Amino acid sequence: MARSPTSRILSSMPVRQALLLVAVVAAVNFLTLGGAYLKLRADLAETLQANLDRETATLDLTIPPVVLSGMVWAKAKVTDPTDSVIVYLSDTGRQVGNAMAVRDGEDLVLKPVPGETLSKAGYLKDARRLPGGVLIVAESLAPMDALRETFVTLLILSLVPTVILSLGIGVLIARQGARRVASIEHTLERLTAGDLAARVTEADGGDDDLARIGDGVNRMAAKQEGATATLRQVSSDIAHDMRTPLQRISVLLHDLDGRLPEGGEAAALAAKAREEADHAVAVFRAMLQIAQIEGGNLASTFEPLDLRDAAERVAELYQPAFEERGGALDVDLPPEPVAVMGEGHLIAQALSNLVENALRHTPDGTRLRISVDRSGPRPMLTVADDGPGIPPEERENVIRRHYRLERSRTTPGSGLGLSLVSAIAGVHGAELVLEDNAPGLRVSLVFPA
Amino acid sequence: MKLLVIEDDATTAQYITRGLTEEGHAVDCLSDGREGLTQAMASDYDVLIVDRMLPGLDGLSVIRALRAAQVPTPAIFLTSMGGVEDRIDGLKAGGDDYLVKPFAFGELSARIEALRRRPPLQETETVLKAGDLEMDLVRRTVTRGGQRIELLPREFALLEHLMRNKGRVQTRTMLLEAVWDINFDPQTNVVETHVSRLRAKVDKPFDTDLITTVRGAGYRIEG
Repeated sequence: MARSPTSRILSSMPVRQALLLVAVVAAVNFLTLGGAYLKLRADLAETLQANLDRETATLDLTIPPVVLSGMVWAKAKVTDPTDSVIVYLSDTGRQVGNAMAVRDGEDLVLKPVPGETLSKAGYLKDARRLPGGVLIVAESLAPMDALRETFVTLLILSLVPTVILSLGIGVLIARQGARRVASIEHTLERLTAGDLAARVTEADGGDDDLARIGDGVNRMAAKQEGATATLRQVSSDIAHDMRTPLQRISVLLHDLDGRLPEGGEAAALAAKAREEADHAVAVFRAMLQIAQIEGGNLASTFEPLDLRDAAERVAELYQPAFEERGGALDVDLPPEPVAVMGEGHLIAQALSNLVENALRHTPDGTRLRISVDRSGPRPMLTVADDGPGIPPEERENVIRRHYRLERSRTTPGSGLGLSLVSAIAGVHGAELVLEDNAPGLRVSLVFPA
Repeated sequence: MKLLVIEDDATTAQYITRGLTEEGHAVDCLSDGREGLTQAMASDYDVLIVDRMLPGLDGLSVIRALRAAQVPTPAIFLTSMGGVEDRIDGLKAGGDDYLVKPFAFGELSARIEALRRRPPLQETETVLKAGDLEMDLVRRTVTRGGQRIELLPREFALLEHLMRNKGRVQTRTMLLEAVWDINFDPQTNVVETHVSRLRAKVDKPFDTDLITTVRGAGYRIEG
């Protein structure tokens, strides 16, 4: 997920396909243009050769060397040596022509005469041995160079638009697809995080593969949501159905308790049974309350309240309990009010649940600190202890309904305490944050700014 | 006391009625909201116990109608809805107390007792008494047998609440509501801890205990 948008686009299917397409088009262009070039080059070479032959043919090679050199001289005067060169090199060492021929071993190399230049492209040479000397006729290879340049230009002109166009279209498709893929990815993330109402929204609502995948994700999510809603409804129904029998049990046990002689074994049993029934009542009450908080419209009843008030009341309530255990409960409140929108009793209840959790899951002597903090951008209500804490990998789980750490299985409690806190945080738009207090656990309710 | 129970769930009604009758109350029981309203207007009851959801006329409307007709009989709502919203609605409609199902019978019994009509405290009455224990509300002092007892503010509030309800059982949840304004049931014995601290100051140094524990219900200060 840490990849940049650019690398995401470059790694997407359409761009990869576009790049492949560009490579194929380039190869095909190269082959056809290359073939044409080779053919034209061969033709040009033939033409040049024919020119040379024709050049030579205009000269009567049977005439005496003096006359020949005169004719060569006359022709050389009107011929641009960059186009073609004609040189007569007599056996006596004299030479005439529009360039100089220098012997270089077996070969004859052309050099410009003063005041003239030769073609940089080189020459197609034809040297003939005549009775009185050597006649050199050469055609400039400049047309060949021009031909190559033309074809390179052609290649570039044909490839550049293809590359730009295919790549552009590829990126465009990829970006359009990327938005839809990102929407699907985002939806899956939210679903994984537990927001079962998340759906893939299609602006164009097309009927391509992405649309079908989106539909599939939506159908899966809807089914999941339905199943969860059913489950929630079932547990809520069970809680409701169990309420009446529980109430009867409670009344019956109350009766029993009242009729048994005090201090006896039977009375102790009845008291224990009452305790267990009370525990069951507490669990059902918490379940029903969570269901109601999550399903209700509490936010409409919210009023501005001072977080310090709940902190003070709850701290005051639990202070003796911590002191009895050889620990302490400190309160850290700012001097001025810290206002949030909410329901005071619910916030006090959430705070009490956090404090009770600490009371149950920490050893004697543990110190607890309740603090209200307004120094950051958002008001914060924090409960921090110096007890054993919660391993980082378990912190996410403890908020989940009924989840309890293995080592706390033996301590009392409904297992719904943090779920209830989480539900209360939810209706207040507050974030429930569990952190390491080094040592111990620090739980904060971070309210909206 | 003369009580009227308006509850449509037959079994719940039967249990409540039986329990209250055994405690020595005279109990009438109806299952329809409309009939309940008529009965509550026609007869003089000490306390009404009204379910929130009733056929005919719902519990909230029954109490609203009664209050509109200037009938001040104290009323306790019974409900399976325990949210803050419901509680506020119930109290706004003119209910005096609110009990969420399932509840311990002792809780209902103690709350009914707490609503028994009593002579209102005289405005001029500034000293509460229970046995040889005296609380001066103006000077914020407590003495027992002339001996001064130093209390923390919240201990003072707790004792004040018990003394104002002298002779009546106060359940843990009632104390939490009255003294700490917290209306849910803690899963730990915080209230017991506060009461035992109060006892250590008010009862321990003396011969007789004034604060008694009522098994399965709560606490009471004896007159």
